[in-house]
Amino acid sequence: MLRIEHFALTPGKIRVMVIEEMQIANGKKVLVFGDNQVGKTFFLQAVHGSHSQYAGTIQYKGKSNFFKKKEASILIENTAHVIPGETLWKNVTIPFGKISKRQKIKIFELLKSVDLSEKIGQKQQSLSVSETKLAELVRAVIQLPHLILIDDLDTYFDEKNYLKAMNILQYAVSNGTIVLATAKRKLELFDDYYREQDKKVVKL
Amino acid sequence: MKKRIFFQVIVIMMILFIWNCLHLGYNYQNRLYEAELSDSPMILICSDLKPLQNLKTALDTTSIVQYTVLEKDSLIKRNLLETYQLNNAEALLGKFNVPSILKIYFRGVEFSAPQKRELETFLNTSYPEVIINYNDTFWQNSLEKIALLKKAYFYSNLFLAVFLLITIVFLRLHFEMKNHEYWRVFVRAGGKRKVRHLRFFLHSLWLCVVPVGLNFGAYFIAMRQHYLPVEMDIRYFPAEGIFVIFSVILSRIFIGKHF
Repeated sequence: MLRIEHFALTPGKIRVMVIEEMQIANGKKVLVFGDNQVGKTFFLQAVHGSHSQYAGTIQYKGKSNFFKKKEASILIENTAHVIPGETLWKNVTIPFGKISKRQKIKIFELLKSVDLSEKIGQKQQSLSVSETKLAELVRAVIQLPHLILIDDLDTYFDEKNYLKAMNILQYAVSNGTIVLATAKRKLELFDDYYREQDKKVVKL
Repeated sequence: MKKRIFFQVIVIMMILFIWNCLHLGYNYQNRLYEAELSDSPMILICSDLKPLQNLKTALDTTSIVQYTVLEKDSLIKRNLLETYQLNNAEALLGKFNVPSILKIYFRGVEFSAPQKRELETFLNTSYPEVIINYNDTFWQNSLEKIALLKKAYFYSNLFLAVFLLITIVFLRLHFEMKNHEYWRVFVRAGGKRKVRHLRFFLHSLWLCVVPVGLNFGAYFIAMRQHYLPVEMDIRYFPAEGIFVIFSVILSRIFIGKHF
């Protein structure tokens, strides 16, 4: 369970992106949506542990310092974190030291579900932005972290690819991972929705 | 990544090989000079045998003398007759008083200037009747050559140590920086941070153990097969290992926060 209380981003003395309470149970997908420049990215970074200018508490299973273990959550940002000169397969398997046969099969299945199985030998630089994002999603999902945080989910995908992305995320969600995403507009297939309104985030 | 570590191992191994060749070369050349010096004896001439016998007894126990050879007058006469085939002059030669000689062979560089001065003073004061015959110029030249060799050896060691240190630090920094993007993506993708530290440690272990180990192995085989004319002190190998470890630690300090 992810529990966020009395949260506010504090760039200087101004309090923005105020969240009085947000509770997300394991295996749930939650979307926070709102306009640009309201602090959605900083909010995700705060949950991830890479941004510290905020007030309030962020707890996972009752522990507030869970994000000190960075591998507890994976943040998929606007900028793609891939090595352009390496193949798709190498980029997907990069966090694994030794990869088991079972993991290999699962990765292949997931890549196949998003029509990337035939491109595993291609260099990352030859893939499109949406394909790169799908590869990043596969890479995050296969590790089954506590949290998957996705910034600006609506930016990368058309309707067809969006469904593919949600299909991939379902694999992690069904294993108890929490998916917390942000977008500019309301998207389908999420369990709970939060909307940013007048610097406050409210549950719909 | 494996190729890069392999490259570093090869480079360090080559430098260590050159360094060990330097030790061997120094030992070889030094032994040659010392042998030359030892082969050139000091000859003491005296018409009386007794002082030379006393001198032989006294000098044989000193550390600067390797060994002494006493040639009595009768032996010298016989040598003269044999060398110049003077069989007919044997009776004539018997009438002359031929002196005896004492040849002193020194222990190379241990017979240095103060020892030489001390010995000459001792001979002049205690045995004024003894005539000293020694090639001073050759001795002086040999000592100068040995001193020059030592100096060159010292500076070559210094140069190679600094060169090895700079090379290791540069290689480690270069390849870590080159891998920086990989590790950034690795962590962002959910990889564990400690993996990088562990990998650095393992690679460092390779760099510290493999080049020194291979050099020692090569030396050991060469000695067993009698390919080498001289030996070297095997304590150089652990010393080189410690030096490589020091260089790797230094490179880790330089990488510092970039890790």
